[in-house]
Amino acid sequence: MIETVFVRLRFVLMGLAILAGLVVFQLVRIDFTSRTVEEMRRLSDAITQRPRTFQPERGRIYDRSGEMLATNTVQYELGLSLSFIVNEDEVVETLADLLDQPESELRQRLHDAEVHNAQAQSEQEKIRYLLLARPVSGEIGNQIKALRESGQKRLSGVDLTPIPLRFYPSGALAAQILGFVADSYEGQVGYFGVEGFYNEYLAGRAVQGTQRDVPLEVEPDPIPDQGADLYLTLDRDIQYLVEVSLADAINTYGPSGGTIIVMDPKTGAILGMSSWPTFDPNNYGQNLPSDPANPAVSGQYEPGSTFKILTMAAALDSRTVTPETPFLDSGVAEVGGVFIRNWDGGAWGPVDMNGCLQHSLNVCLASIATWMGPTTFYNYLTAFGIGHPTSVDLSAETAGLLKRPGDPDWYDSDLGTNAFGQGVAVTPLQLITAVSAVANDGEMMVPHMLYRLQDGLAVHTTEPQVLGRPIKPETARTLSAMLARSLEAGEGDQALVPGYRIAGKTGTAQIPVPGGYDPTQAIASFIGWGPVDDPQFIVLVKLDRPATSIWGSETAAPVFASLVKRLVVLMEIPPDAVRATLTSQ
Amino acid sequence: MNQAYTVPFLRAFRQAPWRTQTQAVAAWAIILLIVAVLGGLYLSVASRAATAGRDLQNLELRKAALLQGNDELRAELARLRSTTYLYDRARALGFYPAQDDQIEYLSVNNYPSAVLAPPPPVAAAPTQMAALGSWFVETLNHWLTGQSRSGR
Repeated sequence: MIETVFVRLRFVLMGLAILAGLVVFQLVRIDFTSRTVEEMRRLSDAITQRPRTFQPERGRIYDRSGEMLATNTVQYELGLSLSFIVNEDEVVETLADLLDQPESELRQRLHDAEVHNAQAQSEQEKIRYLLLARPVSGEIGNQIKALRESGQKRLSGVDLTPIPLRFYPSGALAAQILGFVADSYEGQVGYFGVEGFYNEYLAGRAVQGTQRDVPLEVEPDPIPDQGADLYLTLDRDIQYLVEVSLADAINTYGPSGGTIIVMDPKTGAILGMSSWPTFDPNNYGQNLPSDPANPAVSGQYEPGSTFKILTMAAALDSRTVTPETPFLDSGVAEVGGVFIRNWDGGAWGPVDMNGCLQHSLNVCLASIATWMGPTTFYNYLTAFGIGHPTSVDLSAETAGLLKRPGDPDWYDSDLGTNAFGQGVAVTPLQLITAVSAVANDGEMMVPHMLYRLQDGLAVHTTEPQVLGRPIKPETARTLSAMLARSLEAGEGDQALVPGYRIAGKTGTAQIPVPGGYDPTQAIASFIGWGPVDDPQFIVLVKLDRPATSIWGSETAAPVFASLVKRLVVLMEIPPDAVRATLTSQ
Repeated sequence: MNQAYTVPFLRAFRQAPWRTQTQAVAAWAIILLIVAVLGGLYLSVASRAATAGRDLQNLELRKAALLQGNDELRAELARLRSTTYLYDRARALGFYPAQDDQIEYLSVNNYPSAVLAPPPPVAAAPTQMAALGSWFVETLNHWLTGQSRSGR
């Protein structure tokens, strides 16, 4: 009996041994037969890991003193994983409350999804994820997280997917300089302004990695190249002043648009720049203008009398005239078959070059241009950068328009009209850059917005670059003095700032329309700098189609004065008399 | 005499069926023990690796959450420091922009201007190149003439 049991037991053991042998054989076969190994590994990888793109954090943007202008935060996509919902009532009540939506609406959507799933022919057709809202603010997302983590609400099945969000803490401040960031299939992409121009640096570089779900194989996440931080030349307080001044001007004079630029003529650093209409980059989708490009760098216009600064600079520098050169203004000049008249249609009689600037005489400036001749005149305009981009580090800069002798659309009469800013197109930045040469002893600096770029530990600082030296230093000083005098005695006295000697020029430019010029509307502008003996700022004010008066002396000039009164405080520039006293101590 | 008894006894001892079975059992037991020890070690290492992996996953999640929290705090701080907010707060507290006649200027040595103090210096690269070139010429000159750079 016992022997029989032992015999059977041996059979059982042999059977088990064979089974074990088969298992071992199978293990060896799987492990050492390459095709099977690869297949199994592929299958395992497909189940336990998936490729993932690790996105870098976009670089932040600061003003010159380190105040934040653009940063990153998060918003969420809110959805429901239907199969994981345990307590539907609690989920619906909580989300309806947080999203400020009627409960019935959420219940209906869930019901529709359930009906759809019940009628689905296959698993693929079933709805597994129901998108409720995108984007949802970070505040709501954090409330949902807090409720879930505290256990106050059973919110299983509620999915929150973070979405990176570009945040501009000052709202619309400097919107046209900053541009905006939008989501694309490549991730976040900057458009216009600094966001567009420096997108490559701000965006960083994403890295591809693997998301592993099996803890045995987990490795630290790869770290992408983070975006570089930018420090701009912009001063936040000056920018605020510029925007407030422009908004006041819009309310007071009723123009359809406008631009103000504040620049340091010695370095080309842009301290403030704003145009109207503007937008809030936090909600660019809702209030973006039809052309979101920055009008200060992309909007071309005929500058009118502010352009006379360049004509007079060319004439003085080429020794065609001196400040005392006499001119007999008969009220009309014929250039290339076109009769040119003064802004008031009058004849001012005998004047000198100071008088020509003081009364902004078109006839005088057109005559000066003919004295210089087209070659000299256009060589100077080219040296001033007219017709060429300034190379500013902002997106969508345009080159302006300057016709030259030899061009098919250039006529002899253009010499006369160009002399007082007609028939030539510039951008506001182009004009302020050109005129800054007069404020800066004949040296024109490249206008720039980037002050410093910080990429990890590496810091790159922008150094001022000379764009050109169109006129001699003595010419610049002479013309500055002439403009200061003409301002003090002329039609632009509303631009004067008590305590500070300012040089500048008003402009009232006709607006070209098909077949001629608009007879009723104009672009009013003023460009000025100070203090004349040591210029620290140059300001351009441009108002498009002001409603109260077309004249730059009555609209743009007072805006300039009002802005500069506050600007000198912000820049800590004492009045000339105080400065002289302090310097002598 | 003793030897004559001992040899058959030893042979019998060696050939005893229970002894052969004992040896087999012992051998299997040792193998099993080794396998068990190896298995135990493997399990221990694997469980530790799994724990470490899970910890790593949790730490990565925590890191992401902290970074996100930092971003949100930074954004909130920036909003509270924004010009618009500060001006509104200042006005609410009764402050207003200083007027021309309310400003008194004082002479303070080395006082940095808020806006104009940090203009970056003009590029010095060409000067550096010139300095390097002159150093090379000077060194070569001293070497050729045998003069000491520190003077006589």
